[in-house]
Amino acid sequence: MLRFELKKILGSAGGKIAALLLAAAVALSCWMCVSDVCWVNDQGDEEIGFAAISKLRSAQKQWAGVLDTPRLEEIIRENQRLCATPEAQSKDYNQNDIAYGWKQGIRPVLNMMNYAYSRGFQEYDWYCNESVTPNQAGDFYPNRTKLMKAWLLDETGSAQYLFNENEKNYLIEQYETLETPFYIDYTQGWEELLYNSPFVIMMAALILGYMSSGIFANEYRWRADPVFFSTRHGRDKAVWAKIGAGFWMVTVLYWASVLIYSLVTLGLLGFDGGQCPVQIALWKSFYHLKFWQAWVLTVVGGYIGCLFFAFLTMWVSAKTRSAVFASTVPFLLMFVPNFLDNLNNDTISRLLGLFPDMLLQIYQKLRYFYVYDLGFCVKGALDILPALYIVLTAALVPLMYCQFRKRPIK
Amino acid sequence: MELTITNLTKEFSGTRAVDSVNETLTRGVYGLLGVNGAGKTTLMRMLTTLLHPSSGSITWDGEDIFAMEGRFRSILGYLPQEFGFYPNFTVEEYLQYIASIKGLRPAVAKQRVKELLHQVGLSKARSKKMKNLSGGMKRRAGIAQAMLNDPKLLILDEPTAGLDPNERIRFRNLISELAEDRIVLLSTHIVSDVEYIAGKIFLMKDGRIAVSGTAPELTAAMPERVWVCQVSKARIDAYLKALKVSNVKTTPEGAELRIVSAEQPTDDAVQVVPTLEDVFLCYFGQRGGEADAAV
Ligand SMILES: Nc1ncnc2c1ncn2[C@@H]1O[C@H](COP(=O)(O)OP(=O)(O)OP(=O)(O)O)[C@@H](O)[C@H]1O
Ligand SMILES: [Mg+2]
Repeated sequence: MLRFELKKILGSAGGKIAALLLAAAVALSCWMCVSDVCWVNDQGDEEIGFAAISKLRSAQKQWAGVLDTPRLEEIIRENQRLCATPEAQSKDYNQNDIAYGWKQGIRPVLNMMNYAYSRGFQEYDWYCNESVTPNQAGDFYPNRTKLMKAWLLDETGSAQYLFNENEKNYLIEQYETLETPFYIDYTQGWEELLYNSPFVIMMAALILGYMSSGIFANEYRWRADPVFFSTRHGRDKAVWAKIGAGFWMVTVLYWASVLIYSLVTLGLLGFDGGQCPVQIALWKSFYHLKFWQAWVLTVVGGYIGCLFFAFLTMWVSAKTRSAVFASTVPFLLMFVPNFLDNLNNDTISRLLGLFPDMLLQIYQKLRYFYVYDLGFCVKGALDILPALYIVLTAALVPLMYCQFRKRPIK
Repeated sequence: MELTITNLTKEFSGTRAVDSVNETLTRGVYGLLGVNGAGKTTLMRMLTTLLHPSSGSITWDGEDIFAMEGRFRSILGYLPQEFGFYPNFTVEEYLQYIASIKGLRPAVAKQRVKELLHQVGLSKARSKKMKNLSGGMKRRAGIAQAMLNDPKLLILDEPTAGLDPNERIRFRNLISELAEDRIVLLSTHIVSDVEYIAGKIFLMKDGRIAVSGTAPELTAAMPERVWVCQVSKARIDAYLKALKVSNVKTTPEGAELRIVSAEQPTDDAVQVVPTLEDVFLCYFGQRGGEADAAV
């Protein structure tokens, strides 16, 4: 039965086109990752491609290691030296680009310094790192917590109304307990992989959602329902086979897409740096995650999200009997939160942290302060979401089963 | 093997599509004859458990068919009026799929599909996509589908609709062939479809079984008589409007009309032996079936 159900979905022209689209989305995102990485050469010109990747990699590899105070002092001195060169001081942009090129090895650290030595938590100054002196090196990690606390506890600031005491304490604790000093390395592969992951996962959710929309509804569209429901298993096993087909289709196509995307991207850009904390790229994130852990969270969350999208679509299609109507569900789930966010209502915006679209873009959301006081403890949205949506997804299974099998024929 | 229908009624927002039907069916072929909207499909949908009755009951060997759930469906074969299928499946795949949801074991299913493909004459077309079949071939695939589980109760809703005369004859023969040792209920609005193959015929009108019996019983019990008379060309229209005319045969002088009427319509009218067509006309006030049905 399962085999035939899968054939019903994938055998149609729509199913084939959808699968091809998904493959195209994977290929496109691999390409986006690779083409994002550029190397500025000694002439100040940008290069992209595999040679550029390997040059950037070796430049950043030179600084790989524990980023402690002596190493920071070293990097600050190096930065000062490079900032003092005629090329960096020049009024000619091309000369500046050449100086920029020299800094590529320490660029990730300079980016973090822009946050660490910023005037305020919510401010960012691209040139901030240039004015940092070696004797400030010891402030690097403490500043992260200090600036956050100042923002969080500011009596006149907006954060006052956003969090209650428990939530504030939780955020401060998360900041204080983050393991320092960081271990740094070339992390471009993981960063690109994760940065572009929402695109792949959201495309998968839309496409797989579309493909799921017909599993129940096409039975009506093709007018095959009277025969289906009047067979021995038409109201039990055959309905399970449909749900199974949805599950396996999402599972196989999702993991194939995500694993191909990940392996190709990391294969081309390098697996290095999986052990580094995500704060290298997402300085303000309060989650304690290494890059590889962020990847696991992102892809597992994405899987749960895709499954939820697909099952919700199937349930709606069983209820409305319309594949067309049901296939709008994934779009609505994805775009309504954006719309609600634009309403600029604090309560709504905070609740958005629990919407299913979050699961499709976990890495993007790691830097947001979605925290919830559950009464007995405080948790970040991404600690709650996977469990929450596993439960909701599982709850949809009996719902759609009953919905479809009980449906009287017109 | 006994299907008992008791006081079966189905209402759709006030109108009674099926109205207090009482019948008992045992082994044999039954024809359900009625014009459009008579309630044939509604009755059949209830018999296949797809539709719940507003009141009344249906039992199989004394057990309520809705309570029997899967056990009832496993002895049921159904060809719906609007027979839908999966366009991208080949005939063989389609039958294998239906066999699987009918709970046939794969080895049995394979054998059964092969037999039925042969029996309905689709062996050569087995690898064709369902969407590429002709109307007649689709119907045959539909019959094969209904027969997969060797049903004790075979329900065919207008299986001959839209078929050409040759296909229609083949179909009738096929159904006679398949009728052994089961109950076959066949709906149609074409008299000739059931005239020879059905043991018992139900004439359905406005949701009720107006009259039932074998073809000879029905003709014998006809409340009106059948006449043949000659009329001039000029008067044909007047006759057609005023009387139930079951046949018009043009002749050099005008036409020979076959009329169903309690009274002798003209002085020269001769009484003849009624056919089932005449019975149909008598009850429904209109001719049974399509022009191409008279084969
Ligand atoms: N789902 C429904 N909702 C409302 N009315 C319905 C429904 N199904 C059938 N009817 C009505 O019930 C009556 C009987 O319809 P049914 O389809 O059973 O007739 P039928 O004898 O099969 O006709 P046909 O020869 O056209 O197939 C019709 O008047 C029809 O409009
Ligand atoms: Mg009908």
